[in-house]
Amino acid sequence: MLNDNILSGIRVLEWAEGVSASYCSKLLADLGAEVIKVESLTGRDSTGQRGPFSREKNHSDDGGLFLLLNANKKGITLDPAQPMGRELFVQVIKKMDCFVEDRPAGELDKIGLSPSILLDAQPRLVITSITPFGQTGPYSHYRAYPLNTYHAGGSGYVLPFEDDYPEREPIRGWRHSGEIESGITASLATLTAVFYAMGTGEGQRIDISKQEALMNLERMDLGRYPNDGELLMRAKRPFRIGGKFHCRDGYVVVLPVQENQWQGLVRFMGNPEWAKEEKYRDEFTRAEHAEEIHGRISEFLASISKEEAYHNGQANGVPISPIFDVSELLGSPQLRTRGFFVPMKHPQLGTLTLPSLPFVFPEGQREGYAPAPRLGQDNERVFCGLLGLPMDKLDELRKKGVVG
Amino acid sequence: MSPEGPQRHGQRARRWGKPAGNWETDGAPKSLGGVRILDFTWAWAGPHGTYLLASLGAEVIKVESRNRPDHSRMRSLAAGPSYRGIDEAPWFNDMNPNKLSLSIDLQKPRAVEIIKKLAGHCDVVTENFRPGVLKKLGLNYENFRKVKPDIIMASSSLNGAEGPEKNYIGYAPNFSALGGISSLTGRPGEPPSVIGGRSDILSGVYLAFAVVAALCFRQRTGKGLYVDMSSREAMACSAGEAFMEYALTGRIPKPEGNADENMAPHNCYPCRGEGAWISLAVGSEGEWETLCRAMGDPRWAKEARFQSPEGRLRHQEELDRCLGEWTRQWDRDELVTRLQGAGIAAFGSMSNKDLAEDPHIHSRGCWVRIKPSRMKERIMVGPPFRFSKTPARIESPAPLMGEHNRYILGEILDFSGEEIDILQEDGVLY
Repeated sequence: MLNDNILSGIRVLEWAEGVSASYCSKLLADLGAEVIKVESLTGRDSTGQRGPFSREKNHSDDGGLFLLLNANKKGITLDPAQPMGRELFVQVIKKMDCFVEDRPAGELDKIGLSPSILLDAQPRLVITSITPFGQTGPYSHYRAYPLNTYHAGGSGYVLPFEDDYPEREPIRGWRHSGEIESGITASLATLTAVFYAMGTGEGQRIDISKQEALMNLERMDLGRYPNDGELLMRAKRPFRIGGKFHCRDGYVVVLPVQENQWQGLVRFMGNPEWAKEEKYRDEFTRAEHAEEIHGRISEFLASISKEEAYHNGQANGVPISPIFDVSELLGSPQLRTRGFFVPMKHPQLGTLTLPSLPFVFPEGQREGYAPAPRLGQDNERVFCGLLGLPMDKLDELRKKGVVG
Repeated sequence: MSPEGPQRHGQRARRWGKPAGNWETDGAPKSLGGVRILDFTWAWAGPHGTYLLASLGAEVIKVESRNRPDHSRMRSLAAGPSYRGIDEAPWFNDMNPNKLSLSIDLQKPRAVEIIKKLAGHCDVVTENFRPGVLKKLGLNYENFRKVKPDIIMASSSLNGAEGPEKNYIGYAPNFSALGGISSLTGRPGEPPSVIGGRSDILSGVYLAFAVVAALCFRQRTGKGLYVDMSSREAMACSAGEAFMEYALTGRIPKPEGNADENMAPHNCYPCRGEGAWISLAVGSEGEWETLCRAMGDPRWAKEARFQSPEGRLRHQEELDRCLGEWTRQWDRDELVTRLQGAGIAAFGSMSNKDLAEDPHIHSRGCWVRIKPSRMKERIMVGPPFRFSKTPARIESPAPLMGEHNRYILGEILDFSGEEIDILQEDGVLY
């Protein structure tokens, strides 16, 4: 049983400009769904024009973000704004289980591809629409780049965590991380509706607001204002005990919250005299003296390496972990054992190492990923193979600039 | 499988609260109606996953006991010990709406027998114990399969159930530290930032996704599955682009604050009043010209160094300073309205107070009220998706410890009232 068979038989059409929608269908593709990416005849979407690029850039037009998001997908080029393109688009939709899109709110209706038209064509279709602020409400037509969306969802205002300079500006999570996080949220909703459609034959439309997907991640903290009047700031000392500490060669995060974890930390530190003081006797009293404890832990960790702190701390039952960078993750024996990184053979760039999914179905092994499609790579396979168009009809559509 | 799913215990129906979201939910079908989940998860990462599944219509039976209560009933990392009584913890309530509670002491052999029997009536088992803990009790996937051949089991832990670090423990900030995303978060040239509870919740979203993927697989093939998830890897997924950068360029990416490799302005700028910030991004020459017009074409904006994207990127610090002088004079919300009216991507950096008061968020019904039995009414963020046919919804508050023991044993397992009384007396139900 292989990982990429989990969603075999599910067919997804993706019309995506941004990261969230692409990531939404990528998760389905990685589990074996057949994902067909619709692109413009004139070139890549906005993620396709971004880096990171290889040092020998002329090897490929595609940046790393595009390669990551579109592995395992097929690609067609089609212009749905033209009447013939629109018709063809509806023909493709009839063969699909899902349609994932991120056009601005209202645009599908404008070009004659409204959800009701699509659902008439394919009643079991799941339409997932992903926009910064959702399809309804006063901001539904607002423009937003990933930066704006991240700050709209409440995630940026509290970053950096434990900020030493809270008077400075709030920041976003790294690059497209917020977009990816909205994407998994959309993917969960999509797959849930697919499951419902499998049982009932009924499709539907899902409205995903990236702002709300990010709010969901912050929900426990967001609730602290309406319930307790507590405004959360970057500067607030967030943990009652523990936090981030400097090691000899980097940082570790230590959270000795529960009694046995505290005892483990004391053991790890070599049972120092100070830890026996009455004021450190339980979770409550320790929280009252968290500052002093912080100082003690800092002293102890400053002279050891983060790997040493990680393995020896964990051996004593302490929740402790280094802040690893991506190169350290690539070398991690743990991640290697789990097969988290997968090879992708790219015709020009050679073999690249990609992160895969955060779960395994141990019956099978992960295999390599297929590279992102070239522009219009699967036009024949989809238009002729799947829809049954004769070759001369495809040529005619090509001449008219409807397909690439 | 009936789309409506089984009728919930009558008593709960009377406690249904306001539906989440804009959609009319009365009588609407549930996407996961008829799916029953035996849920051993605790703390945040697992329970958020099963909360989402419950909001999508699954019947989730949360298994705990007074010997081993979900620790969110007693504390949170951020606020410390907040023990107000086992049924009065705000964290627990906000994390576990829509679920049923079975309080049963797994240290008692009779309890393990009952759980196995109950698994025969469930579709999915979820857990986030340290790897191996359930196996010791005989509650592993192989044994569950004996009573329910097509059962799905999903385990979630820091590092996954296999590998040299499988027994390591950690909370949300450890997930993101080990997953690489902390190393990328922060201001340029400054130390990396810890990432808090959102890492738990994100991990829960992936867990729910894995469960639904397995349900789709079962629907098609009739077969169950075991899913082993790692929260650390879920965090690493958010850093995907960084792995690509390293693979293609050999550079190890670092914190970048609000900056973008192609766009400037691309930052948060101060507005009038304390703690008010607007995020503003300019992605093209047209947008830059529009922004200049909106500012009344100030002299600094005409300087040659700001006339190309490359120039603006190179002189970003000075650009940000000049722009900040202008934004500082404005009320944030007025400025957002004005700039959006002109077609500029601008939005507030929203605090929890801002989001609690925002008209758009209210118009979309994002805030939901719930009334826990032993606490005053609470307001929480509802599920993050709008389905046209099968709306997600919050129907009941988090359960009291053991609130549904009688329903679960009596109605699902057909125990008599007397048998249940004995289990209670013997401390099996505890």
